[in-house]
Amino acid sequence: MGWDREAWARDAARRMGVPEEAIRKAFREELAGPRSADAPLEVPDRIEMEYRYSYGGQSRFFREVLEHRRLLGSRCTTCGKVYLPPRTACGDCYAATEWVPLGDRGTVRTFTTVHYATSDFFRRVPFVCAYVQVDGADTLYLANVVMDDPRAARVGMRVRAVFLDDPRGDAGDFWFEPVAGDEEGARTAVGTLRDLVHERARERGEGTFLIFEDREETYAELAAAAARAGAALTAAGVAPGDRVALLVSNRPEFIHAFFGCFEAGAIAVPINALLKPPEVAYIVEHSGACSVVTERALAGLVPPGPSVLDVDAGALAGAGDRPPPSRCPPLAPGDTAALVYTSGTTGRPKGAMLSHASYLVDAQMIARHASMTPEDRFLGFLPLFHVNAQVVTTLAPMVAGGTLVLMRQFSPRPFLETLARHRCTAFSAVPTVYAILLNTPGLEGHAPWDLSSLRFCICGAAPMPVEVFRGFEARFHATIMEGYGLTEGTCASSVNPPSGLRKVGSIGLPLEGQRMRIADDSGREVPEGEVGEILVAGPNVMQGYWNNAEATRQVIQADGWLNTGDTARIDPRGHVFITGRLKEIIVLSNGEKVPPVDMEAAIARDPLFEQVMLLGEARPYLSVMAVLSAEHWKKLCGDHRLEAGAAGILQSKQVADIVLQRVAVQIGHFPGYAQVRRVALTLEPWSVENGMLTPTLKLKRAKVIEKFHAEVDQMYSGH
Amino acid sequence: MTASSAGRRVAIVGVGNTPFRARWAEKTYFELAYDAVRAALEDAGLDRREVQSVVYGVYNDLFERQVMPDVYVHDYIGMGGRPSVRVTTGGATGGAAVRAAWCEVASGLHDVVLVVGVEKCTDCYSYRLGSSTPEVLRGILYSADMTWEHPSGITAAASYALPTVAHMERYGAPTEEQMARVSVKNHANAFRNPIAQAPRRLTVEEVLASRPICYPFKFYDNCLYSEGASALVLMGEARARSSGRPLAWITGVGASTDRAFTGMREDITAFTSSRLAGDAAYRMAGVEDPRRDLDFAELHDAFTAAELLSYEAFRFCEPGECGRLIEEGVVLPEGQLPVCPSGGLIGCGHAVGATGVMQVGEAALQVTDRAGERQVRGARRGLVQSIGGPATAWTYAFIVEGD
Repeated sequence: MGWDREAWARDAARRMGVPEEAIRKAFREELAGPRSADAPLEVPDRIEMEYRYSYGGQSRFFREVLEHRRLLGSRCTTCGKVYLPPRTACGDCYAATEWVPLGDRGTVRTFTTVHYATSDFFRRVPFVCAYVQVDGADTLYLANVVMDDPRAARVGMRVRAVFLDDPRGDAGDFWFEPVAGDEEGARTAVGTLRDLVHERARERGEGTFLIFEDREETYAELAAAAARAGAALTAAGVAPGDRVALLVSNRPEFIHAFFGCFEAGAIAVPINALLKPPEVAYIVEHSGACSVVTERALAGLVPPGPSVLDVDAGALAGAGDRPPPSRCPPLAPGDTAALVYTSGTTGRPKGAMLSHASYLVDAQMIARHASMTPEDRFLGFLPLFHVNAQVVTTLAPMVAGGTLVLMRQFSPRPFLETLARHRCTAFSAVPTVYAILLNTPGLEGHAPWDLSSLRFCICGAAPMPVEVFRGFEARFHATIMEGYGLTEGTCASSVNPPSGLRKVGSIGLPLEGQRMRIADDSGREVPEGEVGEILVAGPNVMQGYWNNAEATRQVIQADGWLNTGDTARIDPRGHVFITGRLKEIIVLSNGEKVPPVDMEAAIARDPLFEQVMLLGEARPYLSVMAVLSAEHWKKLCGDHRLEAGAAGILQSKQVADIVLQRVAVQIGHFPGYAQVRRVALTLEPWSVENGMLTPTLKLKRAKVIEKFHAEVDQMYSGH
Repeated sequence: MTASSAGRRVAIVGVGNTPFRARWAEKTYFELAYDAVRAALEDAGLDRREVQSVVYGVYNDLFERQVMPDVYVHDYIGMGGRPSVRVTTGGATGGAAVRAAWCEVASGLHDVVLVVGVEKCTDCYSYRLGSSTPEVLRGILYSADMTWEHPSGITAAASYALPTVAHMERYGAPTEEQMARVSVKNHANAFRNPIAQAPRRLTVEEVLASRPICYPFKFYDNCLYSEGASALVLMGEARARSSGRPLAWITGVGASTDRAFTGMREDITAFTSSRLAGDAAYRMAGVEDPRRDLDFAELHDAFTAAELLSYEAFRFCEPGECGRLIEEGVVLPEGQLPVCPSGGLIGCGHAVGATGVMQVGEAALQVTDRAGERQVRGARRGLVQSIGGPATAWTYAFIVEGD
């Protein structure tokens, strides 16, 4: 409109000293938009971090802190004085200094509390600002000593440096903690989830934390409800360190019970309500839960043994008259807060041990990354037994002092109504949800819902199709921040930046505080751009699998790096692109993970099926492709009075229904989300000769999908 | 740190201040400066054209959101054509400006020099937050070392709290109650000072119960940020004598500095720069026993403990005994050595660039018997301290005497 592109290109070419055609080409590409993840619009990022570590002796010091986890001083080559902070030349004799490693212990020489701390991070963590004399140094270093109760700080207190995997800019890369046992009364802490609730209740007790249906709950009410739940648990015999299973659907009582566990000093074990009774029983037994908090509708899932607290019977509120315990049991940031059993279908899920510090750090990373404020209202509908709902939609708003608008489950119209009614600013969802929302009619033109409050959405758990991504953003005018993470990393490890360089199809940049690298089989970092396994390290990495040292050893290396099992490459800008998976696991578009091999073996126990392949990667449900045994096929036809050789009979709905029923019988004990909804059948075996099997007789999944793409499309038509 | 031969004698002939206020919404910083200059020139009986040189004390460009604010003040007060320099040394900006002006006169470079201190900190206002507080704090925080110490979240108050806690640990003093007594004294003294921002009747209990800022400082242990301007006219002896005005003489000037990093200081509990600056000023003025030879002191009480620890730096008492001076009433208005009869920074407010200028002017009023209600009876000689930087990194000290 009134703008002459050609003239602009000519002018730009002249000014920039490049051929006009180059400008036109760049312009065409820009207009066309990034067609693939590899051709995005580039703007600079990560400058800040590089800048911080790019000057003077400081860069060497922090490199030492980050890589070798030790403090470095500098010693004058003439007078021998050891400086910390280090200097490259002695201020007294003007001689050069040399670097010397220092110990990680020190003594507080003086301290103060800082109520007007400049760093957002430290507003949330109790600490004192102290001059510490690190052992071996002649000077004092001004640093933070993080402790539960800053009033317990005193001169002469022994402290230990704690190195953070977190070049977090303005908070430093290490802090000090009192050395436990070295001095009395000093408990070390970055805070616990219990502290978070208490702090919010103190700071903004009247602020709304939770909106659920027609109920609203303030932070003070949350703290009171958690205290009551804690008292009820204690009264039920729960002792500090005990496990408490939570088999509760999405409702405020889940949150009360979750935080109630910490009031009682216990460990929460959230359980997927879609599991079958044997799976629930396994988790309850394996975790050693002494109590199960549940609700009437789910009570049938609870195995005999542990005490049962039914929230519908007021089991958590019953202790209402009782004053909350005056002294909470001791709880440290490094204590386990929850065991989150990873979704598996083998009947042997593993319980990831997540500490208070892990939860807090991950929630803080997200809140900071998304610049969340007390004004934010997070719409939550993902099941609360998942880390996503716990960390992203519950704890991150809590860290920011915002509000959680909780829904029982997802359904497009109630979702949109709730979003509009409560002016929600954010939600976290899986790709399926975005696809459904995009396809919800009635949003064009005169939309009945005012969705203008929406600021950003987080998407994770599975790859998002580019067309859904673009379509959703265009229609809802909200920024989608695609991220990546796993339960073993307390939810999020990387997220696309909310502004600046964002690459569709990339899982973004590692969150502040999260170390991530792409490594080969031997754990060595691969060259930039090459594919390898993603390893992550940081305070959000789980402590291990509960009572499963062997499984822990398999995924957490001695130096703290966690093998994710996902493969990826990193582009020159540091953006991470997922390329696949080391383990054979199908990830549905709702994020549920299904290892196909166990399920295929179960299905193949029915002699009707000679060969079975499970499908569903990035799809909303599972499907089966199967090679039928000729003999049993004939028998099946005989039983149902069908003509085995009739044209198109394998594709008929009648046969599909019969076969699906037989599949269902075989996989009845698998979780509810792992049900098969479609089948595609053939009588032609998959063999090494026709290229469907490897020489070792393993299924070449990609080949099968390639060959039967028409059938695959048919099974997912409309989705 | 050691003063050489003192050159010409330098007199303070004119003193002018605007009231110190939390917010001067109706005036710009150059208008404030004008008001103070006009008052100082009237006090000196001087036409502006007789001023030969101007020294400006403006601490922080971020406050006024103006780099080189001196250029605009200089023009506004009609000083075009005359030489000028602006100094900025943190909290000690005003003291440094007086010293620079004193140098110009004592050296014989100029005969009539104007010193102007001005600050208008809340001009840096956050429209997003609807408050100037975070911006002002940030503006001050940039005075902390950005490379190593700022990341720890240190604040101006924290930088004084750290040596205070070390002092408390070593000597068991000052106690929080002794600090509170200083707060009560200076807030009360401010009632007798018409320019003071914060006169207040307080009890020790109220100070102790006020909200914590950073341990051991509570709200009333801290000075307030202020907006205001102060100006002085300095003259060489012959010119001053011919003015016919009451004269106050700057007979001692001392300045010193300490390690920037408190953690590198030999003694973290001592205000060493103030000790050295004070000794130099005493030597120049011939002060042998401060308790005997001084009639009052205007100390830089940005925090109550800063005043207390300064008693020791200036040899009013032995190290560790500062708390006794306030308990025994030595530093009260009716005591042997009244400290901050003006109300000090706690009572008057701290308009940073103006503060040191105001303190020296206050001493001049005292020794010329023009301090009104707050006049210390028979005041002949007083000490002024101006400190800046993290925990007294910089100190300027003056002895001001009557004719």
